[in-house]
Amino acid sequence: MAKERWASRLGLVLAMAGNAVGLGNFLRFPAQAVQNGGGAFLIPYFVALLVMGIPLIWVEWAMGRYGGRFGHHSTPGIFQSMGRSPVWKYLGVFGLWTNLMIASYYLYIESWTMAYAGYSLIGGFNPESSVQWLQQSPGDFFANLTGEKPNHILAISPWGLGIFFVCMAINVFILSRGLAKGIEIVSKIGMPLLIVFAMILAVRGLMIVPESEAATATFGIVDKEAVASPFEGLNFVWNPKFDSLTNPAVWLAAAGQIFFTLSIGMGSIHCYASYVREQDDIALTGATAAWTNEFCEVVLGGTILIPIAVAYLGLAEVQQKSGFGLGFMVFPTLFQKWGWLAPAAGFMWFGLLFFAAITSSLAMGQPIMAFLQTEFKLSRPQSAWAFGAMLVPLAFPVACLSQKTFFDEFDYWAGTFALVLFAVIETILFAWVFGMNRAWQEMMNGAELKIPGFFFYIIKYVTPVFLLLILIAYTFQPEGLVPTIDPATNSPVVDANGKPEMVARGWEPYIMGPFTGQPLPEWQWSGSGMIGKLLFLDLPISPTATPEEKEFIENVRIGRAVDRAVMVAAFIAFAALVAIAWRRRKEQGEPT
Amino acid sequence: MTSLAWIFMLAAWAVIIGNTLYCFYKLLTSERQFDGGD
Repeated sequence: MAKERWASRLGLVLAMAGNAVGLGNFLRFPAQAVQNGGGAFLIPYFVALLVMGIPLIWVEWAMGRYGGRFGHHSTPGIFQSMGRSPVWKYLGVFGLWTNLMIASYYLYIESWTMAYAGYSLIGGFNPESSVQWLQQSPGDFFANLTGEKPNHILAISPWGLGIFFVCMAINVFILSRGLAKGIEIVSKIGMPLLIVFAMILAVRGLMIVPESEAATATFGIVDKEAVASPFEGLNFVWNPKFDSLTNPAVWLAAAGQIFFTLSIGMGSIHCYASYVREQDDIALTGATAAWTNEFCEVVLGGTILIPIAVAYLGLAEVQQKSGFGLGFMVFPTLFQKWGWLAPAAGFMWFGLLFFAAITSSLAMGQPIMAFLQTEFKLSRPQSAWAFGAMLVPLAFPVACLSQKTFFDEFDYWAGTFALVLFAVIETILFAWVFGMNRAWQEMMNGAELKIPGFFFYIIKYVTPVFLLLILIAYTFQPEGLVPTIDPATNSPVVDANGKPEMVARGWEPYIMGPFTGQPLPEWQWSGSGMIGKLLFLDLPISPTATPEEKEFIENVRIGRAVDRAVMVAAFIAFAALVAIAWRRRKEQGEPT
Repeated sequence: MTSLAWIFMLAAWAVIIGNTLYCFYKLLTSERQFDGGD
């Protein structure tokens, strides 16, 4: 079997950028920024980019290219080729497991872009349409598509489910047709188109002027439905705030977003890089893909969704509604202002988002397929269909249950936590087990970009320490309840019953207490920390909850418990496949 | 938007756009290409 290689340099860069540029840039990044305090999120985000994102891109490229030399194209083999202990191949299982978990909900969102593109094209979201079915508002369409209803654990939409399965079939089909051809063609066409359209959207969004400000506006398009200036949203994102810098949950979210968006910590970069030749550059190629992604995320993604959403919904509502679904509510509203262009604009935007998403989801299938092809000698189509078969049982509950169960849990454990954990593991392996001097040489081999020398120390010391600190602080995050102080009187605020009002400060009172002399608060796990999440502290049942609400939360807890068992089972299953593969290697005298 | 927000945004954009353009400049002026399939 001829070994697959990349057809062209630009093709590889575009494929890597296509892999990185996806729903994370235009939908997840704005949602994370809103959920974590706008300007308060961006400072940890940029720190994470500098000390983790950029260095880890090079680390993963170097690891992948090194492993590829020994015929490995997935992280169990790549890790094993770098570390002597047999345990490394099992730690490499994260590079298979994470892809499957993320793909199972990522493809669901991808199917929404497909549905929105199709509904826009046939003239949907138009309240003046003569066809009643086309008059649905974006919110109603979203609810119908996902089957989500407040306080309902089941969320079944037969046609939404149908589109989801069509989307999965398209992915598996493209995967079965090969690496270079399919992905390069999709990236070469889709990427430039998406960037141009995103620029148009950013400019158009910032031109919205609410009627109340029409008299003072010097430029823009007055919009009766707008309730605030889009610049209010931009200010929320970019006004630096330092109060959440002591909150590990925000740091984890920022690191998780950097990893998610750059596709780090998943094993997909290792897989792509393993097809690169020993003397080919990886430093410039990796940096180009990373900075292109950051351009799409921060410059475009940060300027589109939040300003437009704030203009139409107001900042308070945006903060409440924030999530992957926000973009699906907001963009059709904007496109409806474009008159006869609305169907084409909606189709093009959601269609391009689908392109961006599919390049990313195809990348998620590659490591698992490469593993099956290398270790179990499956053909490409067989491995693609095997990946599809693994997806279905995971995708089904994602699509049929409330998003608070499998969907959110996969995004959290696989899409955030596991990425950081995997990054810790690979940094230690690369810099400390493989050895930083060899690792640096490996990174610089064939490099067309001189990586600044300080990254040697960042990769060796700063990145692992930073990652470990975030993981530990986040895992054990306390509530840190302290009395609220009235700044005017400098005394504690009390409620109607005379009890002091408390505010959660996380680690802050424990870190600052010894310096300020303030008594340390009683220890309580925080619902936003890992232990708190495991104890369902993020799903409290309010004393004023209705029986329906109580039942829903109890069902969500059960759903999450089942979901966690499924995730553990999937990991064990992959580990068992790795064990079988290595036993076969031993029996057949292949290098282990 | 506050002045601080403008400064923060434009500084971040400058770094990102500058790096992106530099990388593409290096890439497109590079004489080395990857070979085709073997």
